[in-house]
Amino acid sequence: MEKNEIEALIVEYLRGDMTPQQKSDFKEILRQNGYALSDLAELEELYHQMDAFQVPEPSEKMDADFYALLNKYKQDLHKKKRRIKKPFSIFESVLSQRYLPQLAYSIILLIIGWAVGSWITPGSKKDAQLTQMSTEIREMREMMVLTLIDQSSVTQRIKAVNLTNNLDDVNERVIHALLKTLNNDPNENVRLVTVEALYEFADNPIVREGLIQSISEQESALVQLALADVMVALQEKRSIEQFNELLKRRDLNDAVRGRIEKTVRVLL
Amino acid sequence: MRKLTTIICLLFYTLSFPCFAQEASGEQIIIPMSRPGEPGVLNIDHIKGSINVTGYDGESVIVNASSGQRGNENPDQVQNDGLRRIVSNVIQLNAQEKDNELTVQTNSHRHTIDLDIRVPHYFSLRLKTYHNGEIHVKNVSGEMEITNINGDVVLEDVSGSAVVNTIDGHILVQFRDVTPDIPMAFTSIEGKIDITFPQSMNASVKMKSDNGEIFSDFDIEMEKREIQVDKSNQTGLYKVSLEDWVHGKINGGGPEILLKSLEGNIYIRKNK
Repeated sequence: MEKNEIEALIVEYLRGDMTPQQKSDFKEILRQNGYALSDLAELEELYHQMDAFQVPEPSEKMDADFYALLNKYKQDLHKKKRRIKKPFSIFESVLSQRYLPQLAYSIILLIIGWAVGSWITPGSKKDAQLTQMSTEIREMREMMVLTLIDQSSVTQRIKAVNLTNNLDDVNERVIHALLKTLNNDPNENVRLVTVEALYEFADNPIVREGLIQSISEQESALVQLALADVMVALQEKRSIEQFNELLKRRDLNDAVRGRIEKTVRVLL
Repeated sequence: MRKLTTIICLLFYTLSFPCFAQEASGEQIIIPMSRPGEPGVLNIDHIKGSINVTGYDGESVIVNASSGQRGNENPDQVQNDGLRRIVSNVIQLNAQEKDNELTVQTNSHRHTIDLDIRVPHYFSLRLKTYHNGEIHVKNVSGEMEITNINGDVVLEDVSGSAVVNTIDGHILVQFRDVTPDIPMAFTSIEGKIDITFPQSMNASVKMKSDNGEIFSDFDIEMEKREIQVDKSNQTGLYKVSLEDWVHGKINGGGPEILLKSLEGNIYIRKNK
């Protein structure tokens, strides 16, 4: 008989699943295979004792103790981990498996976006077009100024002069047109607005010279005063001579005379 | 009875002495337009006298010129040798019209001539006079360019736009309507500037009064510098104290309106 089969029979015997007839047969088999009956009796005794053995109940503390033990174990592990990880922690967290796909996607998207962007806007060509357009607009404005400034309607001329306020930098033709208007326009208000407009470009030497020369040529009191204010604002001492010329005139309005004298004193 | 007759005869005799009082003389011209019904332009470059323009419901321009009412001339001046100056009050009035643009000329450099003109409502006016008169416009719609050196300028119930300049006179304007997007200017040395604009007008105002004050009942959005604003308790006008040009926006801003006076105050009123 195989050992396995005998062991199976022993288990059956111990469990008490055998009938008496089977028991005696079993004992016979054992005797045939050289097993002592006393051994069987001892085994039986052991089996029954084990049955009666008390299993101790788990106390309430078991849970608490268990978790405490677990935590302590975790901490120890963590400390061990940290000591090893310190120099590479950031690197490691970046490359840690959880974030890697997200990072990869965002970098790829960035590259794609930049590529598309630079493909759609071919850089320097656009800039050149933009400068060209703004030059064209400026030239158009200057053209408008030069056309309107010769019109017979006073409001058109005032509009023309006001347009120059929108130009940052004027070319010579516009400056000459403004100076011509300053000295020759029949309407006083147009000349007044021209003084204000020319003041904006006073750092241009031609404009300054023109303004100074215009002082003694002006008949109109308001324009004379406006020029006086401009000269004070510019602190332009070269205008003093012109103002003195003006003061020599007999037909000068008294209020204007007082103002011009004050201007000369301020400038000196 | 005899005495009475004598007295009456004496009276008549005295009264019939030749009088050298000036006679008012007048001339009138009626000028039809080349294109009646369409807006026209009136140019007057006057020297002495007033110009009075009124809009009316017609298609021609009626010009009345009169002289001799006022003036500095002293006709009864007797010179040393007994000569008395005979004042000539003859008015030379002529008008030229071309393509709806009318120019009226007189010899007002010789003596004061007052013009009283009726124009169709849609007319632009370029009027200028030097002394002895006012310029008075009423009920006309168009672009006005008006200069009066020594007298007032009064524009009443006008529409369109105005560019007005005086030296000594006041400027008084009442707009019924303004043409949008058109700049205007009102300047004076001695005179005060008083303009009434429609409430809904959009404009950017640029104002300066060297020795006077600026008042307005518009809601002007001031720009740039710090300005003291005190609300006057009278008519809702508030006072603005300033140093240099004051820039402001009415109803969001728009074309530039320049207001400048040396001595006079500036008033900007709302047309209610």
